[in-house]
Amino acid sequence: MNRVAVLSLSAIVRPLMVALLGGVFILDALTPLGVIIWLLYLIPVWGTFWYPHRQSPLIVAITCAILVVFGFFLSPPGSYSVSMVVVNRALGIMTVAITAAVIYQLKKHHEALAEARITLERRVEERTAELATTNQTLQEEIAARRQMADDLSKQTTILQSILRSLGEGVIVADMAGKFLVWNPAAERIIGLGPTNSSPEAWQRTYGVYLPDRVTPYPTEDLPLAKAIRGISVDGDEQFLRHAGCPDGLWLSVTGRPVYDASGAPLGGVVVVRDISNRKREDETLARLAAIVDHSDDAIIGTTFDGVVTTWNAAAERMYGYTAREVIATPITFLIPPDLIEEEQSMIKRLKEGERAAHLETVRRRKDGQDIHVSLTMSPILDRAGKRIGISKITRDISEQKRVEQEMKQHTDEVNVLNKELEAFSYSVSHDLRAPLRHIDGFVDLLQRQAGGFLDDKGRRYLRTISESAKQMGCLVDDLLAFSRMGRTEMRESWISLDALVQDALQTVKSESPGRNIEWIVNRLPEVQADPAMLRLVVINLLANAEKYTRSRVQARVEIGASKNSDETIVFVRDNGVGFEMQYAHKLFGVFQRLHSAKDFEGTGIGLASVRRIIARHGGRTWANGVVNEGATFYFSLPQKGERCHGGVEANTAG
Amino acid sequence: MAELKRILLAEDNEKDVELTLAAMEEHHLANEVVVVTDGAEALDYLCRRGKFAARQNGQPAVVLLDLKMPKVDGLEVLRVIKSHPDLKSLPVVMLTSSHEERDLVESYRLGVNAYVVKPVDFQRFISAVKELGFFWALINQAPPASMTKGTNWNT
Repeated sequence: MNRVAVLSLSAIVRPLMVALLGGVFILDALTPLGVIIWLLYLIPVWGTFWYPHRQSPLIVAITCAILVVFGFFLSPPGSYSVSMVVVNRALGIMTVAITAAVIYQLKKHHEALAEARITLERRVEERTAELATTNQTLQEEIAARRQMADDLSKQTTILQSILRSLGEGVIVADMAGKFLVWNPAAERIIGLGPTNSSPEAWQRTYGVYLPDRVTPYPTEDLPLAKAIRGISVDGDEQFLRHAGCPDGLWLSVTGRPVYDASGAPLGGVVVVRDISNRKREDETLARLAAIVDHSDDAIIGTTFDGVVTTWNAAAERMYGYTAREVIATPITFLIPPDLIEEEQSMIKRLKEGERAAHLETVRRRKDGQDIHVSLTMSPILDRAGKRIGISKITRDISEQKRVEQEMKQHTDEVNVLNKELEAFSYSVSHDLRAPLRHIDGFVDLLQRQAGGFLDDKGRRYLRTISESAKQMGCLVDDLLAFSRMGRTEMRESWISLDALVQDALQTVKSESPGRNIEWIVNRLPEVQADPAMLRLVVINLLANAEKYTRSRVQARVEIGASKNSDETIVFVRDNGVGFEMQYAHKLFGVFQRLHSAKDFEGTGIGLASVRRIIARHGGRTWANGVVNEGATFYFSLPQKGERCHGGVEANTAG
Repeated sequence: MAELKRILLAEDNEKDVELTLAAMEEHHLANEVVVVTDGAEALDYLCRRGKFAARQNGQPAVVLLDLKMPKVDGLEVLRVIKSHPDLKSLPVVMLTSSHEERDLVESYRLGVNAYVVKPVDFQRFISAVKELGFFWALINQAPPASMTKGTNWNT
């Protein structure tokens, strides 16, 4: 730029200079100017000062000197002497020369100064450029740092937010054991926040125990303490119990040392997880597993496709296969081929939503033996309620089956015997009586036919035969009745003992006409019994009393009862001939009699029937007696349940 | 009118027959008794088949049936009589040695008209037979002959 300015300046100055020199020379040549002439020549010399070329003052000065010389010869002589003009001209040349020299020097200095200024300016420019670059770099650096700071703050926020939202507790402590981080989860899980306690007091402060739940956790072994010492700990299980959680809780703790960027230790971090639920589940599972393992029933798990998934110890015993042999194989090896369909239909029912299927079936052992089993199948549900398999609980009922079979056999035998007995007694009642009837019948016919030819003795023989036959008939009847009593079905109901005794009394009275007996019937309760059978009991006892008081002029029979919470006791007391207590035990036996048939007729079946009937009702029979004073017969009936008096209110209202 | 008094006695035991007849004779009823010795024969008689095919007279006033008989027993004869449209109105009396309840129950279920247990005591037997004979053969009004045609079942 300066250069252009210089060039443009020289382009103006040079013609100006030439014109000036030309003008001065012409003026000199035309007019005698005297001294003024060299003064005029000084003007262009001075003008070179602004002309860029350093040599220009010299060139202009030489030109001026030459022109001065030429002017001498051309200039018209004036009033001046030649010598004066020569001196003047010489003085002018000298002045021009000196001026040129001065200007040269000035120009030289001026140029040097200009040069120095230019250099300086250039250097200033360079430095300015340098400064700008540096500034740029600095700006960029500042921006980068600001970005970094922003990023860091963002990351810190994210980290804090992560720490806050983590389900696991995170605790960080520095080398001195001062807590730096203790996130909300840690506080929630542990139930306590950070404290100023020293690492030695952590065990007590937070109630940390070994998995046995009672031994305090050794302070130096705490995962955080170890992490601070540079030792990693993975999934350490510990038990926590303090005032805030008296029931305690289970933790799984993982610890890691923390280092700075240069690798210098900064402290330790632990991640704490609450595993109480898992622990409880583990315990439940262990208990269930123990139950399954110790069960006497084979407990087998299968998939819905019948592939064995679990196989307990009882299954090993029952079937002879070890778990290793059968797990992951189809269960069909247990099922006899003809029962596969049954199994499949059960599984189908379970698939269709049935809760459990039960059946008795047959399974095949490893040794090929078939066993009877009681099998219960039920679906195994996962937490979501999805059917993921089938549990099969199997009980070996071979023994039970065998016993059942035996029982059935026994029952069958007993039934056969009973049938035989029934047939026997049926046949006895028909066929044994017929000959007796014939004896009596033909004795009677003989008596009519030949009675006239017989003497008294003969007729007595016939009478005896007839009586014996009748006696035998009674025996057969009584025996049959007695036997029937043990076999016929009982139909118990609530009956009024009062009414029953009155009815039986009528029967007994009608069979003993002419007897004068004082019958005393006390108030009698209602009892639960088979009416027909109980009637037989009462008739037997009343008839007995009637029979054994026959020798009394003033016969007296009393009937009464007493009731307690367990049983009703009924008695029949007479003032008859009585009996000797030492034979009391024989009273109720079949065909057992304490009196001769001559004194008191009878077959010895009556009291045996009484005992049998009462025994069938669950009661007892006994008797007290004194010879010639009388006897008392007792029977008891157990209280089987309160009677519902549904009609009481209606009765009182009516 | 003598025909109305006819009694059919089905009894396999000849001693029982003799005693029964003796008892009836006692009361002058014997000449009216037709004796058959088993159930099959009793049915033959009532239905006029076999050796009774040519029988012309009407049905008896009463049928006395022993329970236990060879071939066809008394209960079976009773069942056939009471389920036959032409015979069911015939009075039937069971005359038996036993008083087994199930026989009694079964007899009444089948529609027996009376059930008599033959007593061992012959005197009582006589009076029982006498009462039976009097009631069924003399007192009781037999069903009209039209109700007891006794057609042959085999046709």
